[in-house]
Amino acid sequence: MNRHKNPNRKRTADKKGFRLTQSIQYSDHALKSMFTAADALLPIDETRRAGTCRLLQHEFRSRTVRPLQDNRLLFVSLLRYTDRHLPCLHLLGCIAMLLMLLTMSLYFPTPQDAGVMVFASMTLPCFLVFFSVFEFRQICFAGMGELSKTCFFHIRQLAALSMIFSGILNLIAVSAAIILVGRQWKIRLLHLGLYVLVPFLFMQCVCFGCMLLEKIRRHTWLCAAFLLPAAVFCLAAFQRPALYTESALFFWAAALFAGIVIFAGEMKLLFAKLDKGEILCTDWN
Amino acid sequence: MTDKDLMQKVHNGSQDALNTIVSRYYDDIYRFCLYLTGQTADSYDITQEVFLRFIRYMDSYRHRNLKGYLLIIARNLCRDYFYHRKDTACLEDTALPGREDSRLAQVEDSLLLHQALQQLSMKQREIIIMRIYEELPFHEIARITGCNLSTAKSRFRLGVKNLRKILEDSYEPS
Repeated sequence: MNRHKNPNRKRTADKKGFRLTQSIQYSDHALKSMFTAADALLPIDETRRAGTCRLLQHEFRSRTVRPLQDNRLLFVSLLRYTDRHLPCLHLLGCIAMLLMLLTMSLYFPTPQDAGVMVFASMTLPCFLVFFSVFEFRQICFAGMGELSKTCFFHIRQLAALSMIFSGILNLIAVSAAIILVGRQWKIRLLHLGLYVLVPFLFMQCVCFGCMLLEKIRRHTWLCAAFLLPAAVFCLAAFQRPALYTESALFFWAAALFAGIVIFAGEMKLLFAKLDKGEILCTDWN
Repeated sequence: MTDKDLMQKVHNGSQDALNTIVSRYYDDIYRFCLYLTGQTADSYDITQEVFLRFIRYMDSYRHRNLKGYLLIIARNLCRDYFYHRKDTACLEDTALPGREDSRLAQVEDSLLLHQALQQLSMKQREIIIMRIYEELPFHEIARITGCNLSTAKSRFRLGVKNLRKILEDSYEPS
């Protein structure tokens, strides 16, 4: 290394002695001062900095859209970018279902009519599944994918949030139906819950299973055709009083558990397809 | 605006927040790289790469200290740089502009500091820069370098001792 002569240091060395001066000179504070002084001699090249900024912005724009972390912004995105008519229709559908049950309760008030009301409470909530399917379909096929690239929201996250709200609405409506029918006709809520939730979940599995299939996915109304087997299932159950005995509860519980497992698997597959881009979010047709 | 707020905005797609982060930390990261490598052009390249990696992997950002996180990336890139270059270069003369007589002592000191730093081992150099220049606490340095607290402290003590010795030896007593 080159050996330097520092005039300032020489003067202090003359006064206090070289060794003592050096130990004071290179304390941590003195070293920090040296760094600070060196910084002043190292100007930043503004063109390089601007070039880095440009490159970063390009990289930032071209990266895939990430999930939002701010819950408030996520909720605002849901309100801003999704169709608000469908959730409103969904809410109206829930109210209509409950009103129908209330109206039926006026026509079938006796304990002998309990079977009819159980059948009605098993079948009517199945219609609510269509609203969930339409809401999901609206996110998948209404140009939302294209919108997400320019408006910076994460399509999968938005679909998940929409499904959560839809599911909560359905569960509230179904719970209200169970309580309404159960309390008026003195049916145990646990039993009635199983009777209502099994066909409801069956419909959910069938409809979202349809969404997994490429050919049926675009023709959501075809899902309505599957209401027929659901109705047949409910009617068949209705025709067999043995299915409503205490001993048959295990069958209902097992069916409910299987339905939950299948539905969870379907949702996982559906979101995986959405993530991979197999479901064309940019399709306007 | 705090780093946490900025990070949240960047996660939500704000380019302005990204620009703020760059303008806030670009100089520090560049100088950190320059003190480590001693090469002006390479330091700019490494700094650019630091921010590019930050964007690419920001989803995995869990570090509470943003500057510390950027320094981790910078430090790792500098280590890669030395691994590929195998040699340690001195600061280029072009990095020290304006050698007027009035600033001669300052320029000499600066050059001396750079040369002294380049004589230290990479481990000692990075800890000295982080502790004295960046003024990071030892626990943060330990986290960045991936060693334990006592190792960081002992490396620093040894590094400062060596640095002082190099600086003392570089002056001619007369």
